[in-house]
Amino acid sequence: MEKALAENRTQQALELAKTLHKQEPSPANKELLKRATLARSRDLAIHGYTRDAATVLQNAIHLDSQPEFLAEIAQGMANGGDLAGARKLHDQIADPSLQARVMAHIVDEALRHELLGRQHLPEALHHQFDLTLQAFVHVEKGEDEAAREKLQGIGLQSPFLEWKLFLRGLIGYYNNEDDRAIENWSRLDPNRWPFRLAAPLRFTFDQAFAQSQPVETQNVLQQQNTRLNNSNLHQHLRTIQRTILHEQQLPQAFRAAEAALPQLRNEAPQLVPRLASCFYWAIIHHGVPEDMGRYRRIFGKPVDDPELARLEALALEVRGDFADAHRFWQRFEKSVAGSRAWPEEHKAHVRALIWAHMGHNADNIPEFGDDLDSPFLPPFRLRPKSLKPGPEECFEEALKLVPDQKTTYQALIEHYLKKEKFQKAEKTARRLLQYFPQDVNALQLVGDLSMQAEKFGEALDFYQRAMSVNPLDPRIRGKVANAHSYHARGLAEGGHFDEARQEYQAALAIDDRREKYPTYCKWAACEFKAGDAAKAQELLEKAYGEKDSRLAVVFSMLIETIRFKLNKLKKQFNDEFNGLLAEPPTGATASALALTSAQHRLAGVKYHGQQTHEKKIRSYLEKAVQADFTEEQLQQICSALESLKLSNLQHTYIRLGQKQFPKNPYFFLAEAQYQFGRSRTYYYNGYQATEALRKARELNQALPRGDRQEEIAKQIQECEKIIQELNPFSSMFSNIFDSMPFDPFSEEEEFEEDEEGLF
Amino acid sequence: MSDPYAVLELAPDSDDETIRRRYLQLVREFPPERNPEKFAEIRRAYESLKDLDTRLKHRVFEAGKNESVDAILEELTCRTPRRRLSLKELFALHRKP
Repeated sequence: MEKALAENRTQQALELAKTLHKQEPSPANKELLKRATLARSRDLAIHGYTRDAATVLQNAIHLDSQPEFLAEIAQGMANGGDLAGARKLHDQIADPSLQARVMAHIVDEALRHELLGRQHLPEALHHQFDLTLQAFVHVEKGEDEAAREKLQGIGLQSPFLEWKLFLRGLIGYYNNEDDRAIENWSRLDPNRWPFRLAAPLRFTFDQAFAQSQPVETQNVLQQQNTRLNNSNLHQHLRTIQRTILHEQQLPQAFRAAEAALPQLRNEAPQLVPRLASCFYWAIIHHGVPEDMGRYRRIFGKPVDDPELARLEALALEVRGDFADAHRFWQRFEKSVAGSRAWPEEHKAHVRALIWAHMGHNADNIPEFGDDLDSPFLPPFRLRPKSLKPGPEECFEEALKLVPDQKTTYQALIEHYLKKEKFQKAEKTARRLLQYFPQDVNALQLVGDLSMQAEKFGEALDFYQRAMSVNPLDPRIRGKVANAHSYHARGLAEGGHFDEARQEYQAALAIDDRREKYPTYCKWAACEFKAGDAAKAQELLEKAYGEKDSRLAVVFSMLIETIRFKLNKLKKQFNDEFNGLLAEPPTGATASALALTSAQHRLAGVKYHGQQTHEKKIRSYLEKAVQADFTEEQLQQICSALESLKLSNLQHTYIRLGQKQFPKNPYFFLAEAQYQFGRSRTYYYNGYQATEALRKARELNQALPRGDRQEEIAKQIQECEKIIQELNPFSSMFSNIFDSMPFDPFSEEEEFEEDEEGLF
Repeated sequence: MSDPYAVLELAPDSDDETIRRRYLQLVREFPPERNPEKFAEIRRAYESLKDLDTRLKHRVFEAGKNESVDAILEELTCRTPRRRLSLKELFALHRKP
């Protein structure tokens, strides 16, 4: 029986208790029976079976004549509607406090039956009963003062006090004085009717009260509240709420809107445009063309989009039809020019924004040219066509309208860089700088492009301007140092050694990077050229001292002596270079060699013997795979090999990085980028690319927040765009492959590939 | 996020200075450590309106996007004068439908 009670199987508990008591009517068993009876009665009452609860209690009256027990029985009977029975028991209870408790419940039930309940109350309470009922009538009619007057007749000791508090709170509620309502209702007894009557009303505005209720109770209160606010208008809005998000049910939502609008315009006109917005966006996301007609008919033409051209454009974008969207954006742009909805002084800006948006759309359409089809979709050509006007025209139109729109310049620059139209990118960056002379990105870009064009003095000027804006940015400082270094070289080659020395000194002073040995080597070569061997040797010693790899320093010196045409020294360094290459490779040397070679390639430096050196470095790196590497060294090598376009070897090191440093997202990102490099070949493995990217994203999210994490996240996003371009259906297959985790160590079929990674 | 103008309680023709002042006022009233959700909502609203460019972009491409029927129903319930019920109707709410 105890177990049944503990598990709330009150019916079974009661039967067991009855059996037990029948077999042995001991005091202990009687107590059990009383407990089971009360538990069963409470259980029935909680579930709404108040009459049954009362019956259970009536059958148990004979069990005990203790006042507490009788009070429980009487209370239960009153709650079950048996007021006469409850009243009879009430009169038998000697304890005044228990009597008061029972009378409170009798009073509640009596009020529920209104005039029919009055007869069950003692005569002394009839007057207060009448006052309470009258107060309710006054409140319902809006006669709040009259109600308050009636309530003044109810004293602090009265069983009707709860009802007085309830009514005072109710007056506050109807007058939107929520604080007053809460103040009164928070004093109510949760076991009595006034508390329960207040609950669904309080639920609507008292957040703390609502959240403190168990979930089941919240659901019940919500349902009661819904019935409370069940006007026609609410019903229609709820129909819209249920149907508007479903494509098939949108017509039904429109019908409900049509029914709701007259009343909504009357009661809350400010909500009409908001409802219109809900439908506007519903059409965009999942509407059909007929819905536009419905929209116009019900809500009229939107003021700022009377032809619904913008709606069409947005809807087409959602459906991936950018070509048609492009047409509608142009239509919308023209409508803005002649529209009164937009302030005159803003029209040009709005039109510029539309053109820039079109430019972005056009820019995002990939160009496939005459290359092989994507191996994933042979032989279908499902690729979107380029948009006309194209991105350049769109961005230029935007700039014609608003010449100082920074974001448009930036977008146009990015477009040109993507297309490798570097001259145009530079020209656009210079235009941006006319309006925003301190824009650091533009200054750096012009500097970078000047470096590419070997205009080192000009590059230095732009980098220094960028540094004046961001003096502590290590990347900019590195670029300034580089530019000094390259400028110095140019001066040295022209025989201006003193100026060159000043530039090298400036480069060293500014450069915050750990390794300055490349600058020492360049300067040393310059001093050799100038004939100051002692100074050159001093600088060389500094380079050796700084770098833990002699081979790296020797290689740098070899390059510089070739470029300066210092033939004797060249032979000396060349011999030493070849000798050191024959020694067992180390991680530090391998990464330094790869980095130096890649930096020269990236800087566009060409010198005699460069290809031979790159071949030798390639062989060295092939040997070095067995060496010990730090995480940074492996990253440097992977990055350098990408620049040197040694993709096979790069892939070997990428796999090594994944194995040795499995928590570093860089190596998985590199894997994806490596796969993209093969995207024009049959051997592009889209699945591996996707999975590697997924892994990179997962690992990157676990990194501490900072520049590195943000930079990798940005690259991951760009790669995801590429995947989408290569295979528009890639997301369809992600579910299929979810159960196949990425195994970085899986055997991959190796094919003979050339240096470019192509078959 | 619902209408950013509604979140900041500003008229649609408010200028940069007004918007910024109101934003700072609200952020003092709802600091992130005490009201993280409200703060986030205010911040998002401000980001949509902080200068002419973002305001116009919002109006052209985003206006009404985050509107919902739920919010409309909630507002209607709040704004509609609360219906006065009789004692019988109050008890009837608790009867199972």
